[in-house]
Amino acid sequence: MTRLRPRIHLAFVLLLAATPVRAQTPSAEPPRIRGAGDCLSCHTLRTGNYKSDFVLLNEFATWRLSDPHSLAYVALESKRGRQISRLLGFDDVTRPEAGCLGCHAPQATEPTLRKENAEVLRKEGVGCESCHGASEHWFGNHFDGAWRTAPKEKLKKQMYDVRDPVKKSELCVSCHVGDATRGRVVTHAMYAAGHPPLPSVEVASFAEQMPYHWRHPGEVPLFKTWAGSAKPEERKLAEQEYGLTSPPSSQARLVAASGLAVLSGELDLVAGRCQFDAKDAATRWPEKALPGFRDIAELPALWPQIAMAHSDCASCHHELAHASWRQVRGYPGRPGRVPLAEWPFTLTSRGVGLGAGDREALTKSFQKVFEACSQRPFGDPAALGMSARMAGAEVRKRFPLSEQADAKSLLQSLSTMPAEEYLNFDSARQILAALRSVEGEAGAGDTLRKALDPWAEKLDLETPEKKAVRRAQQKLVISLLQKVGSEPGAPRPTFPTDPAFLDAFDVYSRTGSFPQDAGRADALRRLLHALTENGGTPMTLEVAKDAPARQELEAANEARLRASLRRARDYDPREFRAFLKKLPALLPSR
Amino acid sequence: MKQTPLFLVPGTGTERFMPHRIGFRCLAGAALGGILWILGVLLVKPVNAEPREPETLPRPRPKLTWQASTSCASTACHGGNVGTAPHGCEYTFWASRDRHANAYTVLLEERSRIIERNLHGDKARPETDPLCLRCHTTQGELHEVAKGVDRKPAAQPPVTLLEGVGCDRCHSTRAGARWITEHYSREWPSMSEADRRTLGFRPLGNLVAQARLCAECHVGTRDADVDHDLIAAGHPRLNFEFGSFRANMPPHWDSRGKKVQQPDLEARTWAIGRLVSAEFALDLLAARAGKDARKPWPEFAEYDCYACHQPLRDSVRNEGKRVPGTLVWSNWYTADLDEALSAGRKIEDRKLSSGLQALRVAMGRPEPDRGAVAQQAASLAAHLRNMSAKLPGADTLTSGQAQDRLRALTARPVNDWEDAAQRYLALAALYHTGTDLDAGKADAATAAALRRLAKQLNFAPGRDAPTTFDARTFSEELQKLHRHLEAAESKP
Repeated sequence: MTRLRPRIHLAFVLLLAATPVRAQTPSAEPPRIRGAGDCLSCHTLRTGNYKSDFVLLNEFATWRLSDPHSLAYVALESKRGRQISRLLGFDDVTRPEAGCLGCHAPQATEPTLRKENAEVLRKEGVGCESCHGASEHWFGNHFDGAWRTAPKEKLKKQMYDVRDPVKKSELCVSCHVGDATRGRVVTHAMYAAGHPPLPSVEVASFAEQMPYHWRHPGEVPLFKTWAGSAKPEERKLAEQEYGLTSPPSSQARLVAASGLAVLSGELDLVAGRCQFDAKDAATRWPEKALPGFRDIAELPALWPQIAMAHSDCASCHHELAHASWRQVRGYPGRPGRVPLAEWPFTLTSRGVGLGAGDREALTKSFQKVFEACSQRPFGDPAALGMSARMAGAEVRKRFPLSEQADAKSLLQSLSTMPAEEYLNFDSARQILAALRSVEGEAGAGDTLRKALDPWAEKLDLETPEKKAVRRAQQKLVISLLQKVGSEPGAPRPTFPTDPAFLDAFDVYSRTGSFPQDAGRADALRRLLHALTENGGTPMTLEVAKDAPARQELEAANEARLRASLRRARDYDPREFRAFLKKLPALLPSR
Repeated sequence: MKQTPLFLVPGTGTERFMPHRIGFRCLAGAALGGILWILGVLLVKPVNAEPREPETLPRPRPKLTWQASTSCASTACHGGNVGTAPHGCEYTFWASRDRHANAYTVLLEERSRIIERNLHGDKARPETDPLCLRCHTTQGELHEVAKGVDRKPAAQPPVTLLEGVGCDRCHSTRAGARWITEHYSREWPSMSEADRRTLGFRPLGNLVAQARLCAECHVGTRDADVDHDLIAAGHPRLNFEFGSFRANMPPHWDSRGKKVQQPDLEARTWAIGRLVSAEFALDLLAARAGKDARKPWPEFAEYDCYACHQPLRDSVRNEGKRVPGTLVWSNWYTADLDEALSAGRKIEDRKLSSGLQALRVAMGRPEPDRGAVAQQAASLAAHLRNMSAKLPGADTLTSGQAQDRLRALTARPVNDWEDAAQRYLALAALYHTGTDLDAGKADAATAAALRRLAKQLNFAPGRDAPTTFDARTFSEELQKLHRHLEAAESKP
């Protein structure tokens, strides 16, 4: 515990806001963001000159070709983005007061960072330094041998610790759940104008889909040999890099951490938005900029609009039907009131990552939140703010993850359903995601996996539409690289975009290894070269909005949204409940 | 006409394509939850009022008692054989066909248990909850059994509860009644309405009086409020429309005589029903918005159910009509209200239109101002009360006016299902009136168009929402009908 304490402190400092980052800065001036253009020369083409267990050195390629984060800003310029802007009454959705840039271009909007190239940084969307920290103070050091040091040392130079499961989760949560103090809020008006619903987040499976551009501890060769052939100095290195003294139960810890992080994120968001006397009104309440509401000085008069942003979508947004399962199930509070989003509670209230006794204390603090929500329609902001703040603090107390966070006990927690429980779509999705993330580690075997698999598509976790979006993104970037020939007058390069080639890219992206097929390997190398040569160009996607590849990407995104909504609509909680009831029989015996 | 079931009023046209064919479950469900008071007689005054009685009374007052509808059921009185219907068979009709007679027994069903459990926990019982009994029985909320939600029900509940909404609920005033022994006396026919009222008799000859009676439960009042908490717990939503409810009841009265006096009865019923319902709805809104802290606010039952209760979609409807993501005040009770008031008589009412507009703006705010809404709604309700009182005496519509109104109503597009349902009901009433006034106005094409409109309003099986409804398609059908009516008008 003594060892952990300073790290907990840093977790707070690092993750609650960017402000503390400034407090850590040695110089008075905020750190400067350099932009992905400075990363790509090393982090695109894994050459073998530098070998490390801990870094793949293909990260930029993965981000640029496969990771939708690199399209975060581009999304604002899409047809849907323009529609949202129009309906919200903004002539341009990229204006700061529209409230989009906090998540869609965080590098250009963080007030605590220095931007000298704001336009490029903005177009990067969620770029490298959005998650890894502004690189001004560490860029020069980080390829030094001496840089292999403890995360807290790196943090002194503003490089964030993204290996710690809690800190990693909190980074994701700051946008994917929200953070009022940083203007990362999806308002109900934004949803109503066309913003896709924020899906439930279980970080391990979320990263899987992203796709992640790192090795999680289970994939690091050293950890595989930990018990046998690993050398002491290698272990020491691992300890520095990961802060671990024993081989980690990686996925389970990440699942547990993300369960706690989404919940504390949600509770903090709610608490922050209930605090009507906060000075940063425009940041916390983008609702203030809505047409017709500009003259409203009194935030309490906006409360229902504000509250809807963190309410449970499906509580209202469902078709009315006879023999409604909600009515048969009953309500935790008064019927007809609007509860908070349910899914962030799902993992934690099942005891995931909690030690003995934790659950009771947490349940008590959640009860106060539910009561505040139930007191009146949309909840009582004062009571809700207070109870959410306290519940958030209770959750954060559990951040030094309990030893319960191993895969087997996690499986047990997840498959123990109260007999009469119905879960809404996002909560079911959260459970399934967690199950899928840990079943391998728990050695649960084929039977369980086969039982889980059909639900992955039904609950919109792993879908053909998502893959189609990734393919469309890859084709778009490749089509841009083909346009920017390396030399004027030279014939423009061509790269394959066939499924086998793109599959090979996915393998490279995951493992760093090139395909067996020599032609394909050569094409991949040429592509990666082109990316390093011209990385800046495709980075900003300077291309006509009606370019076919871009249209295809938009179409793929729209198809994906439609499919997600359809799955949510068709979801039947009775079916999932029946499935969960069968689960205990499929678990490995302890 | 030979197959016309007796419970439909022959000649009123209600059997033709009245909205029981719409079949939307919420109308039906709401009807099920309805109320009319038993004819069982409530004699005289509450016991605790006795000391104040003047000592000059000629005889001691009979003790307060409850009597069941069976008091009216003698074969020679209202329990006649259905063959002579409806006169003399009122009790028989009610007992055998009218769902008001089941109003109490539904409280014993699983569905009601679920509602009560959701609201008040496992021990609560709908059959002892005063809120339920208020509408599901004859003055049941006053009954000894109605002491609390989790009271153990009496081993043998009184017949006056078991029979649901009986004769007395509608035919007696709420203070009680002692007219049962008088109403077959020789003096009765010559007795003034005021005198009858002092005996507890509730006159229902007037359409406004009837509509007000139904609205007490089917729209709701401060103490009989089907709010969103109750709906979420499982109670059907109330969406009352007097004309269609009256036609579907089934009636145990005969409107033929009335129809001779007032051949525009259909349109008149529609117009009066709309005004009275709106008045009650606005009074209820005033009560909800008022100072009573127990009333939830904003009260979701005031808003369009389907604006929120729809699955998430990838596209935006109603673009530009309002700030995205705000609640929409339901227009079930206010749609086309100006038409209902004027009904062809060219009554222009600035106060109604400006008052409604102000309320719409107020209710469109994220958190409507309770004080302002309560005040505006109460004042508008009072205004409607005055206006509806004038309608029974208004001139009879001409068939030309009825046609004009049909054309006017088909010219406006609709915004949503509620709009569309009210529009259809208005068109049906006006069309019937037109043909009642002038049989030559019957037109197969118009009738078929109305049927098509009604069909669009249907809910899909198992659904309690217009999942397949599209306002644009409905408006197009309206437009087509409008063009047809215009063309028919311009023909010599």
